[in-house]
Amino acid sequence: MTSPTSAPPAPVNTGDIPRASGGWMIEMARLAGGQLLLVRKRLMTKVLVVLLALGFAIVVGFGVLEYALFENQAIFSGANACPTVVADQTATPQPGGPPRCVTPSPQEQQQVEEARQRVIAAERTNLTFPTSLGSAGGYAQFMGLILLAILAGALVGGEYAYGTQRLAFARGAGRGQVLAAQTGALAVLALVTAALTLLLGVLSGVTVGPAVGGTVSGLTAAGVGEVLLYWLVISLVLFAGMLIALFTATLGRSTAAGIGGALGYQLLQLIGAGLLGALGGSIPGDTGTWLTRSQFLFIGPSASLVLGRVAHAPLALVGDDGTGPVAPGVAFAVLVGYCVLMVGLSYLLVRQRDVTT
Amino acid sequence: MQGSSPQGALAPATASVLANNPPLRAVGLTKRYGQRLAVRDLNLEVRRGDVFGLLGPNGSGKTTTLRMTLGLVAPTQGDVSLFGVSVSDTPRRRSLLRRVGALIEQPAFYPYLSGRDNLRIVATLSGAAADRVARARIESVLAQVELADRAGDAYQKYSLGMKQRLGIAAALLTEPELIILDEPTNGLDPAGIVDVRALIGRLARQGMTIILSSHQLYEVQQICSRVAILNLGTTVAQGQVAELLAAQSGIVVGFDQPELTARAMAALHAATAEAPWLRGLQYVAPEPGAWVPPGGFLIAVDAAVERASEVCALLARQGLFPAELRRREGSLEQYFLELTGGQNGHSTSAVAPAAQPPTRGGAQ
Repeated sequence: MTSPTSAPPAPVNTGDIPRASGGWMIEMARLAGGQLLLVRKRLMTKVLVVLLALGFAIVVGFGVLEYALFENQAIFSGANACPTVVADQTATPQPGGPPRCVTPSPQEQQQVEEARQRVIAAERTNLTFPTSLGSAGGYAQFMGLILLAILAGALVGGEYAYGTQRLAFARGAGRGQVLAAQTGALAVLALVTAALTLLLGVLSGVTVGPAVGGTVSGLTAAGVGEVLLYWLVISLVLFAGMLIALFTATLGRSTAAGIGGALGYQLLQLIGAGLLGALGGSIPGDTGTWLTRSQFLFIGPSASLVLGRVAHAPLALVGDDGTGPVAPGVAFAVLVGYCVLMVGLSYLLVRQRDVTT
Repeated sequence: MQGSSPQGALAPATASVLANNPPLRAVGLTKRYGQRLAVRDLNLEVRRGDVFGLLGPNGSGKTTTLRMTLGLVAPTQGDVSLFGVSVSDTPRRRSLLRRVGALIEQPAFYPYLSGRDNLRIVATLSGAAADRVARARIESVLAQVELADRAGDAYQKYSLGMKQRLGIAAALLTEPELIILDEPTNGLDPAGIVDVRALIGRLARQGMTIILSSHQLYEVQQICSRVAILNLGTTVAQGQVAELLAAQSGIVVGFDQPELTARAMAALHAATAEAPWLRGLQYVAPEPGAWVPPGGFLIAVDAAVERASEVCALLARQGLFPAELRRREGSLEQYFLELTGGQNGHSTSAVAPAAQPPTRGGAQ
C-alpha cells in the first residue's frame, strides 16, 4: 500500500553520502571533537569562562590592594600616635582608654621597616611575571576545578538528560568509544583551562607587576621546563577532578549527580584531609604517621606535593619543595590512580547498562 | 572495545551475508526488567523493501523490541539480528548500526545546538567526518524534511513537528538501508501528521526498508505492506496487510428486531453442518456512522461476499428476512482490537457468538 498523498517523490540521493571512515581511534577523535563542539556552543561555557577571568581579576585586585596597603602604611603617623604595627600588646591598657603604646627604639623601627619592605617585595614578586604564574596555578586548582567540575557534570550528565546517549549508541558509536571521547574532551578542557589561567597569570604579571615596581624577567630553559611541568600537573589535577564528575554523572545518569559528586568530593577532601592531618599530628607513633600519610589519598594534598616537586626551582612557583610524609612519586601515582579508577568504573557502568532514557 | 575496522572494510564474505539476509530478524526475543516481562518469546522478520508496521497497545513491548534491535537494551533471552548479524555481536555492531537510521520515541538532540549543528553531531556519531560531503548531505536532508529555512535556529525553539522532522532527517543522514521510526507522528497536529506520513510514503516508494511503530492504525494500513501485532510482549499476528484484511472481510447481516437477530444467529449456527463455509459467526457492533440495528448488534460471517445470496436463502428458509445484508470491509483497526482485546482505551468491536445477542454496553 502506498501513501494517499500524491506528492512527487523527493530524491534521496542528492549528493554523496557521509560514510564512516577511519578506525576506532579516528572515529573516537571525531566524537571527542563533537564533545568539544558541544562545550563551545553552550552558554554555560561562556559564563564559566567569564567567571574564571573575573575571579582572577578579583584575586589580582586583592593582591594589588594588599600591596598598596603595605606600601602606603604609615608605621608612625605622629609623635603622639600609637604606632600601628608596634603596640605593646603585653602592657595593661587604661580602663576605657586606648591600648598603651610604647615608643619603639630606632633599632626596633628599623626591624619593622625591614619586615614591611619584605612583605612589599613578596607582594610585588607575586604580582610580577614569572612568579605570577604560581598565583595563577593556585587559582586554577581552586576556582578552575570548581568551574570545570560544573562543566564536566553538565556535559556528561546532559547526555542522559537530553537522551542523546541513545542517539549515539543507536548510530553505531561504541560505548567504550563514547566514554573515551568524553574522557579525551575532558582532558583537552583541563589542558586548555590550565593554560588559560596561566596565560592570565602571564598577562597580569607583565602588566600589573611592573606597575607596582616589579621587574619582569625572562625564562631560562630550566624555567620553561618548570612552567611546562607546572602546567601539566595542574592539568592532571583538573582532569582528575573532572573525571570524578564523569563517574558520578554516569552513575547517577544526571547532570546534578555529576556536579554534586565532584563538588561533594572537594568538600569531603577539605574535611577529610584536614582531619587526617590534624589527627596524624596529634597522635604519636605509627598510627599518627599512618593517618598523616592517609591524607595523601586525596587529590589535593597529593597534588600539592607533586607541584612542590616540579615547580619549586628555579622559579619557585610553589613555595613547598615537594617533601612530605610520602614520596612525590606516590603522590603522582595517587593522581593517576584516580583517573584510571574513575574512567574504569564509568566504563563498567556504561558497558553493560541498558539504555532506557 | 570494538574492533578497529571501518565500515567500508567489511570482508567480501561478510558483505555477502549482510546483503542476502533480512534486514531484521528476531527469534525467541525475551526481555525481563526485574519481575516485569516486557517482551516474551517474540519472533519477527522484516524483509528487504518492506514497510513494516509494528502495532500494539501501550506496554506491548514495541519500544523495548526496537531498543533491543539497536543494541540499546540487552535481551534476556533470544536474539535479534540485522542483515543476518546478531546485534549482540559487539565488535560488528558498530558497522552494523551504521546501516540503520532510527528515531526511537521522541527525538533526542542537544537543545542549545541548531538543527544543522545537531546533524553535524549525528554525522560524527555515525563515524563520518564533518567534512564537505557531510555538510552537503546535511543541507540535503534538511531540505527533504522542509527544515532548511529553520536549520540555524536552536533545537529548543522548534515545534514538536519540526523536532520530529529533524529526527527523521537524522535517520536519513547516512542513507541507511533500514529506517526505524518509533511513533513518528506522536504528539503532532493533524497537519504535522499528514506531513510526516507523506514523507514516509515517499521514502517507501523509493524502496527503503522501513519499520514503523505506530498507534495510528489507519496510517499503518495506508503505508505499510506488512505488519506485526504485539500484545503483552509477544507477536499475536504477522503478515501482509492485504492478507490480514482479506481474512477480516466477510458478510454482515442485520435485523430490525433484536429477537430476529438472535433467531438468525441460531439458524446460521444450525446450518453450519450443511454449509461448512459458514465460519466465524459472531455478533459485531456496527462501524461508526453505519446503520445501528435495534439492540445494537449485527451478525458477521467470515465468508466471501459471493456467498451473500446463499446466506440470504438459508435465513429465508427459516422465515427470516434481513433488514441489512452487505459486505463487511476488513480494517486493521478492527483486527487489532480483536487481537488485543480492545486495550488502550478502545472497546472491542466483536463479541463471542451466543444464542442471544448481547446488550450493548452490558453483556460484553
